[in-house]
Amino acid sequence: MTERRPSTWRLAGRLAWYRPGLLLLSLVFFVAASSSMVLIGWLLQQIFTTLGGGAAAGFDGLGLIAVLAAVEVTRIAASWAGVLRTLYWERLRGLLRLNLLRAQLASGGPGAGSLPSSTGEAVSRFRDDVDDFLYLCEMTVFVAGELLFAVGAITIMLSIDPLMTIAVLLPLAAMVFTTRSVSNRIRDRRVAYRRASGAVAGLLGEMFGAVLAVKTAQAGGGILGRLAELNERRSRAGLRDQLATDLLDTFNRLTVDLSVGLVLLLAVPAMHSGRFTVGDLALFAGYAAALVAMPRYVGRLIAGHRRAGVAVDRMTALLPAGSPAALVTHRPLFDAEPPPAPYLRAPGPLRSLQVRGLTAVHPGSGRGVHDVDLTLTAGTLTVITGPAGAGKTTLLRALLGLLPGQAGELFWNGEPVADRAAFLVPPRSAYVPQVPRLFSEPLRDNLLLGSEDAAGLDGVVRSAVFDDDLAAMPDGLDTAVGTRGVRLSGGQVQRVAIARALVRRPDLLVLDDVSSAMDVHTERQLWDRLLTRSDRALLVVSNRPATIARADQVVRLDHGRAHPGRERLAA
Amino acid sequence: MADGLVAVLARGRLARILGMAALLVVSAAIPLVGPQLMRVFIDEAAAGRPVTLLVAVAGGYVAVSFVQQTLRVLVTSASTHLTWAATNELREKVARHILGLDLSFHERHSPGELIERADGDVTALTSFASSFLVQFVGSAVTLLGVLVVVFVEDWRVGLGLAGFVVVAGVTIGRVRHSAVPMAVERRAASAALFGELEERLGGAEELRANAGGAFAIRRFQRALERLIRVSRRASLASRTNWVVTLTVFAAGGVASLLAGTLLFQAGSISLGTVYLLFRYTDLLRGPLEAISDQLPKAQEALAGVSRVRQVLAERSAVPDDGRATLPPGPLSVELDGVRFAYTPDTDVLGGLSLTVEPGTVLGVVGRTGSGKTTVTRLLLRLLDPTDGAVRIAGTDVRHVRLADLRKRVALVTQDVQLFAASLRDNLTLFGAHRADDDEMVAVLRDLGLGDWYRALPDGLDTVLGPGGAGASAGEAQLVAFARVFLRDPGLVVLDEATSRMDPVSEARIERAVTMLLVGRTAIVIAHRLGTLDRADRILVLERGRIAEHGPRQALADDAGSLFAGLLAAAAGGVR
Repeated sequence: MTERRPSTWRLAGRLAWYRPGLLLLSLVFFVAASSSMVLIGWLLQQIFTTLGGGAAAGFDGLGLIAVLAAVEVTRIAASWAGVLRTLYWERLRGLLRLNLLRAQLASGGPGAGSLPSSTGEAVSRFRDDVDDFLYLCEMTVFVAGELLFAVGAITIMLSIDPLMTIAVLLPLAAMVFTTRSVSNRIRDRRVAYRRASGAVAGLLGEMFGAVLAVKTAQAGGGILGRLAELNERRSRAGLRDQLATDLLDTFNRLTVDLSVGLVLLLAVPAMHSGRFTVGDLALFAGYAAALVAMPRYVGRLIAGHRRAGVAVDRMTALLPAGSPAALVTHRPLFDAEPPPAPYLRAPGPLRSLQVRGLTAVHPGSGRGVHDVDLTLTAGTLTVITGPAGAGKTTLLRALLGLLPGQAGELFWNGEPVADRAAFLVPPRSAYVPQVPRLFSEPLRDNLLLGSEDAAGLDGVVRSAVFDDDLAAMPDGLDTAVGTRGVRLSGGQVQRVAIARALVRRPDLLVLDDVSSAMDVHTERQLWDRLLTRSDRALLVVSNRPATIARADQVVRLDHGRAHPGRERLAA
Repeated sequence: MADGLVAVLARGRLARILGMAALLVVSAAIPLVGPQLMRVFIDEAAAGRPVTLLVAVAGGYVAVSFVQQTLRVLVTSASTHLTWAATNELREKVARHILGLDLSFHERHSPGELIERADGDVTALTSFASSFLVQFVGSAVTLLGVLVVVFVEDWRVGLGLAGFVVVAGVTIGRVRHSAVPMAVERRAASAALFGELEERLGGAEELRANAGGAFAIRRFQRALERLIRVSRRASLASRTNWVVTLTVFAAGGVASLLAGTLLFQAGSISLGTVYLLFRYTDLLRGPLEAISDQLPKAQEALAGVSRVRQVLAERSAVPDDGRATLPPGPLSVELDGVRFAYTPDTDVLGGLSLTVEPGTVLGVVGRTGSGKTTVTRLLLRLLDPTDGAVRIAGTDVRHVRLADLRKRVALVTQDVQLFAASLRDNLTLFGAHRADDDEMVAVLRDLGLGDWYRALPDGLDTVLGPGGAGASAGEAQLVAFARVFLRDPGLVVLDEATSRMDPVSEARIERAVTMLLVGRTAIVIAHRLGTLDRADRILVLERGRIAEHGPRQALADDAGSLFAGLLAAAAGGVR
């Protein structure tokens, strides 16, 4: 990414300003809680000074204790109201996720982001990177409150005894440096431990997921040996992680005690001369214990800012290029939005679709398709065939605008199409990938995907050769298909996905190797039913002779280049 | 309760556990010393004692802190060490057990669920076992120590403090519990939100290309609304609990100051002792919270224990108690009245009888659900027949040792399973089958994977699978074939093994399969009938019964046979 994005702080600020009233109110409570902490330390000093026979500010011991109780009540009330903040952060998380999802699911147009390489990757950005970014907001407010306390505490200590104040702060300053170097190491070890844990869970998942292969090949012994190895690695990483965290904690506690020890030493002559009271001692000990966490919080804030920067980069990669601000766009969280105005005007029903010089290359492997020309006509079946890795799927996805950075031109009835992704959607086109994904909703929702057109369902179910299957389901269209459709067979999932594509009556139907899990009968029925309409063009990837035999046009792909096959292969 | 499991965890570790406990008691008592030194300092300074004594007290304060922290690190490392050793042992035991269970168990439980048993529950149990020891015992020692010391100091204050401990303990214990259901509800709502996100993002291309985005966003908003609603309840509850704890200790602090002040003014105690009491009240907070923290964790861990025990109590429906072994060379197969049903009244296979002579190839065709795959599972004893018998080389497979059966019978399915591990581990299945590097490379070359292999950055050590080097579906299938080549099976079962393959890969494998089948018996299931050209006989299955069975050539020549009809349909010429 070459262009400069707004700074992480700026984006965080923009996000936090989502509901300013709520934000400011929760800050007020936070300030109240912090300042009562300062006040409580000071009151303790007054109480012990009074008891020690010193002069105190207008109250006797019992009166001071009553004031202390009142301040405690204030602090507790302010802490309780802090729940506002927690709820506010939860909403901001939701807003970030909503913005990301909108960019991910937009079919082309200015709001469409690019798709990540894997789903797991994308989910981790929705979960972990959103959390990392919010952590910066939370930590900033938290550290601001702690700083407020620190300033108050240090001012009071300086007014009592500047030298002893320095004695308390010096070990704390040392903490700043150690914390920074140690916390880097802690993070590395934490990462190593997470990775080692992930490896164990990953192996268990593969072992149970591939249980058929493991059992039939009698591979249990080998794989359990590997498990023992990964277990051992994880326990070592876990120990190192634990030790690092423990040592930092120990260091913190030692620093407090060292500060208190120093104060005690310096207090010996001062107490003899009466300049330093028991109350002062209590105050220094109390503030030292509260201040010790300060360097750690600041360290966390700095690290949090760094992490949030990485998170922003990773999240903006899911957004349309050059618009990182779209990440923090303010919008209502729950209101259904009006459907966007049609981004492109419809140029009439399909007569012909021309593809010229289509090129799409995977950045890593250099594999892809090069300079493919293709013409599709309404009422015909075009089959793309070729060996594994020839670029068949890439060709379809590039054509539909699902891959970034492709070259080539597209003409619908002779008119150029600028934004393929936005243009090739229902009712102009629909797509069924090689391994279609169903969602956990009932069958009806899976077919309609929000379309209002429920009347034509019977017809499309029949066209997709799913009518017999549906008739055998007691709950019909209300049948639960299970998580991602697991309750259906592979062939059924493919046919449901075809029906889903047909619901929106597309002019162009793009099918990627959909007959792979169908038997010959079903496959034949499918082509019989799909090829009845003369206003629809079919673009299909397949290597099955029965499909190729039905084609009006065959395109043979090899190493990403097209070799036109015989037209009208079947008699 | 957790009898057997606790024994597993503790076995061979008793001495270390006891040593750690001793260390723990000492380290839990030390925090009591610091406030005592402070008191001495305050009282002696007020009395105007010599500087050297006060300096010694200040030094002692730092020294005690040092000892305390060192011990703390020692105790936690020791307990962590112990925990990991025990966790790993239990995890391996559970994983081994699950792997040994039959296929019907695995069909009932998703891999995610089983990971939760073997990893999640086991980790929860052992981390509880270790933290319980350290937290609970340590806290109890500190708590008792404070009470005893204060009683010795002044019995009235001691009594008051004991009362405070009881009230605080009961209050904290009660409120901590109350937030748990809300937290569980929140976790569930959050899991639902991410489950949905995962689904939609996985189907992002389809949603985009089929204009389903608006639908998915509306559903997401609904899930989000629910999460935020549930979160509000959960946050309020947990915040309230925290505030209650805060209140209890603030009240305790104020009360101890009040009591100290009154006793001091009555001349019963010194100013240093007032400070001591105040600090000790504060010191109780950690232990009390730690103890009440352990209670919900204990419940969670016990629930995990019962789930793990349930899994360990499962017995495989395919017991491995056979003693017979299979002879070398090609193996005959005989199905004798084989019936199979998951539930009593729905037969998947209904009384199948047929014989496959050694060294011949049987082709099996039939529609989805005709029972083809079930036959393969019976041959490998992933399931046992409900009635009848499966015999290989004349021996009922139930009498053959499982290890021997699965060594001599090889299965390749449509779902290729590559592990996220090195190519070598993928070929030998983590060393389950020995083969030297040259042998592996030769097999890859024979299968036409030579170019692919040479392009791998680290040769046999290249990590495959998700996040590793890529293999197309065809290449992955060829790797699965290579696994079989590296063994020496007498019976090869191919279940739709080539249906995902393109013509070029299929041609590559054709020659290899021909080589593989020389001198071996084979059962080949295929949708693509071209794959069956090498079959000697053909079996057509329909709804778990034999619809047709005979020599391939004879069936192909008989225009009225089912098989000839299928051949014609596949060629696309005849409707």
